[in-house]
Amino acid sequence: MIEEITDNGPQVTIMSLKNVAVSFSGKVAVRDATFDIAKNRVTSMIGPSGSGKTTLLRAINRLHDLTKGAKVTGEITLDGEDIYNGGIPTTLLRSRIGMVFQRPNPFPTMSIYDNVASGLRFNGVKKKSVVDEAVEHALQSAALWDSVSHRLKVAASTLSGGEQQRLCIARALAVEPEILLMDEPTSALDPVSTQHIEDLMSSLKEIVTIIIVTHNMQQAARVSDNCAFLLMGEDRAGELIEFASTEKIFTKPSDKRTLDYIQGRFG
Amino acid sequence: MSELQHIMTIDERREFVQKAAKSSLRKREFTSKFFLGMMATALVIAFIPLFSILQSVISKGAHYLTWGYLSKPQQTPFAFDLANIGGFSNAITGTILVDGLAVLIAVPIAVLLAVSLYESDGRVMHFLRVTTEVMIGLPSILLGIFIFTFVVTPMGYRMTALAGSLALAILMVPLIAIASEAALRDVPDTLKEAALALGARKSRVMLRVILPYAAPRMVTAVMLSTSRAVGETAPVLFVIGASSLTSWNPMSPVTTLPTMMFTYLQGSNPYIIKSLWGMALILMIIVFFFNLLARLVVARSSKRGL
Repeated sequence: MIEEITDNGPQVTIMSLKNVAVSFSGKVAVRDATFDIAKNRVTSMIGPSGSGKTTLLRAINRLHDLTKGAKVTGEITLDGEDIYNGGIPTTLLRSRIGMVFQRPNPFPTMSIYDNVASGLRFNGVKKKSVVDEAVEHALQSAALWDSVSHRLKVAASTLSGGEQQRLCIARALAVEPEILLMDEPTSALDPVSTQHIEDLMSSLKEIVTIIIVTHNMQQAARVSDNCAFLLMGEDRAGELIEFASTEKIFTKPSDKRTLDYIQGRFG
Repeated sequence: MSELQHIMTIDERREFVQKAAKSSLRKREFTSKFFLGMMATALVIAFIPLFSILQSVISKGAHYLTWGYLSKPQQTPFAFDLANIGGFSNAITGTILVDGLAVLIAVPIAVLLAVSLYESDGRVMHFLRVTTEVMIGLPSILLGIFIFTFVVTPMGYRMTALAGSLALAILMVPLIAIASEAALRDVPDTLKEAALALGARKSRVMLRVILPYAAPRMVTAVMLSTSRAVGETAPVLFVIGASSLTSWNPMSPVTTLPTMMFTYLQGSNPYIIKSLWGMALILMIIVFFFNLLARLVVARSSKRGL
């Protein structure tokens, strides 16, 4: 592990992207993504619609594997191991890299408890005491324990939108992932729920590395330590324009296009 | 056209639209009432045959709903006592036995078929899908001939309840499979992705997330196809043996309500012909019960907040 002294103090790299490109049936959706993800930091990916943020995020836990014709090239390493061509089985990789989606998607057929426990059960954890403890811990980490501890057996769909999204965060956290991917986690939520999730992220980075895709530049500025700016190129493929500490991106970016974007000139 | 728009100010155009809306209001209201009237008429026309069937079946069949008819098997009346026709118990138990077994055989096969159709998209699967869809349109008497040729004949022309169940199962499998596959396809991708992102294997995603979500609709499909099977005569007519004895043994000949009605219709005893109304009513009650159950299952699971 190499410690690198940056604007954000010493950082340890947990994941590296090198020339990552994703294409669908030969059509490039995003390319030239090269940057490092710092451990226990929040890395944001910003950019206008169509710049390939979500596409890139989904490459990190191999969700494109499901899509016919999707191809990921370049190299993504987790703790130095290539996640596409290395020896990590996809299911194990996904249990190490959790994900929270754009819209809250708790399993509607399961209770609150079963939703949080689902990841553990998928991965073969059966011992009740272990599951109980993990569920409580995950709900506490997601700041949901106090409001649901007395109704764990209730259907997840009875929760409000913001609570459902925190439940999804708890569900992802219960398997103790090293990295948590968040795909515009607050875009379907009201301002108060958004605030809750943002507050949560600053405490969560103690235990997990976060990569967040967001439309909302203010959100990226508030919650992230490092920031990747992507933009749609002339051939409609997204590409990485600039990667730096969030402070640098928002105060003195080196690329003019980044400056234009953060000043609201397009996108 | 475009010149006209250019010379109108916003206020003028607003006034124009309001005027047009007002002057066409009466016409639009008339059109709306006209179509409402048409729909009401269509509804009445559709309900007339339905209610008259229901009314005649109930009025002519209700007095057969007695313990005597329900508990006694059929019997051939003597010439001096034509009214002594026994009951329907052999056909009721036969219906329950044959259709129950058919459900037990059809459901696992249909669910596996639905999951395979849902999961794979190769050429073989495409062929299987088309075959399944075509099978829904097969004349049901073909299934009876098929079972007679490939099950009854090799067993030494032995007619059994099981043979009837097999014929009905072949009838039900495509109905359940196609409806179930549609239910599986309606499971939101985001739930699948959520499960996969937790490190779940494909089989676990299917068993723990996709199937539970689709289950209510699959149950409905089973219920509806069962209702269809219960009323079928042709597939079971010449494979179950039309026995007049009450039996719960799948390897013995039995009869079902529709087949007994069919054979009764061949006779000339007026008491027997009249009793068809009673059997029709019992059949309708059985089908009604199945549909009610299907509705209850759906209502209960939608309360769960899908």
